[in-house]
Amino acid sequence: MEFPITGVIVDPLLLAGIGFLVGIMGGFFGVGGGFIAGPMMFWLGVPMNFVVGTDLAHMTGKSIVAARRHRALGHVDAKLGGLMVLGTVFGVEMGASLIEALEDTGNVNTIIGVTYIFILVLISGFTAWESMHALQMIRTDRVDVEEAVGFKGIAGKLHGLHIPPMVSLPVSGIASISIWVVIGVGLLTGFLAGFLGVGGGFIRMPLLVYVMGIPTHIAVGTDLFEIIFSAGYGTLTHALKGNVDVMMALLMQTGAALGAQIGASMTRFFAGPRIRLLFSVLPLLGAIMVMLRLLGLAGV
Amino acid sequence: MVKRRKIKKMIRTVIIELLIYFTVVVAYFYFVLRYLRDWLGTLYANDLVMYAVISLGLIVAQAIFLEIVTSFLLSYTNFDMVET
Repeated sequence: MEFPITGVIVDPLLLAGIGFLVGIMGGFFGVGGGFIAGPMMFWLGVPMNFVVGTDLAHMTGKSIVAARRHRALGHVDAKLGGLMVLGTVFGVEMGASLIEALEDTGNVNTIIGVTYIFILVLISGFTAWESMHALQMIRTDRVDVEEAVGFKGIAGKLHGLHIPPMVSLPVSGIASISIWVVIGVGLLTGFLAGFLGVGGGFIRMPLLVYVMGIPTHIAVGTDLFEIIFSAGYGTLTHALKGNVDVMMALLMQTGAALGAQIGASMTRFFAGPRIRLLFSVLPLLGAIMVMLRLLGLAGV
Repeated sequence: MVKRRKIKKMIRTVIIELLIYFTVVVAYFYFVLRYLRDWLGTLYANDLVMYAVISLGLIVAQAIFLEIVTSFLLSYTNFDMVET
């Protein structure tokens, strides 16, 4: 089928298939999945500027489906997500401004690429270490499997900070936390997302668990809730620049809707540490994609 | 043994769901999306602001519609009841 906006010929079933695969991953891990869908679209012949915008558009729709499913399962903390959006918006702008400043140095792609790989490998290694440690705690100490987190240092200290105004997040099981901590985490993830040019799901999910002490299932659902707004904003700005082929996004979304539902439902069958252990592979995949790009072996 | 039987049941449920959903999506594609293609192409060429707003609106509307369809299918095929 020919898509008049991008001018490329792509099998619509392939697009729906990509959406389905990324949808399962997104629903299960709470990530947008742009680092997987993007290269696949590029390999199908979609021009690079349309890859980013169209992927964001499909991500918006997929996140709506997955977040609604997670909400039905009681996994979305809308208050937390709403507060974090405030920080995320400013963070994204700060990250984008830093890129503009670095562009003057001439080697911005290398700087971003190396930072990206470093952060992703760090997240992957830490999440794998912590989740294995948590699983060991469950086996040896008979800790509640849903609550087990092998690393609580930062979350405990941040909960102890009393900088008013304080908010309670009952859905996440937090009696009182400074609003500045919540906005600060949003700012940090937004900054990294803006600087690295990604949706930021695979940065935000572990930060919610380890820095804020949010239970894994709620971190996944809340992350998807936030992606609706960040990806929706991105869709609008990219569409205004003419970088969105909405027909492609709609087709990808038909597959993603089912995948996201299945992925979100599957989280009920896995305990938090197991979800985190499986999740630890994702940032590594992202790092490999960037490494291939830096070495000139892949287009995305 | 019981666990294996439950996994088999889950896989069978997913396959049934995929077949039903595939039929629904193909019908949707031929009866709805095909007619939108040329109109969206013209809109993209003539009015980018309107195109951006309508794009976001279509994405949100389709997401809500598909969520209702897939939720119904999941409950119809008892996927939600399957436990491993």
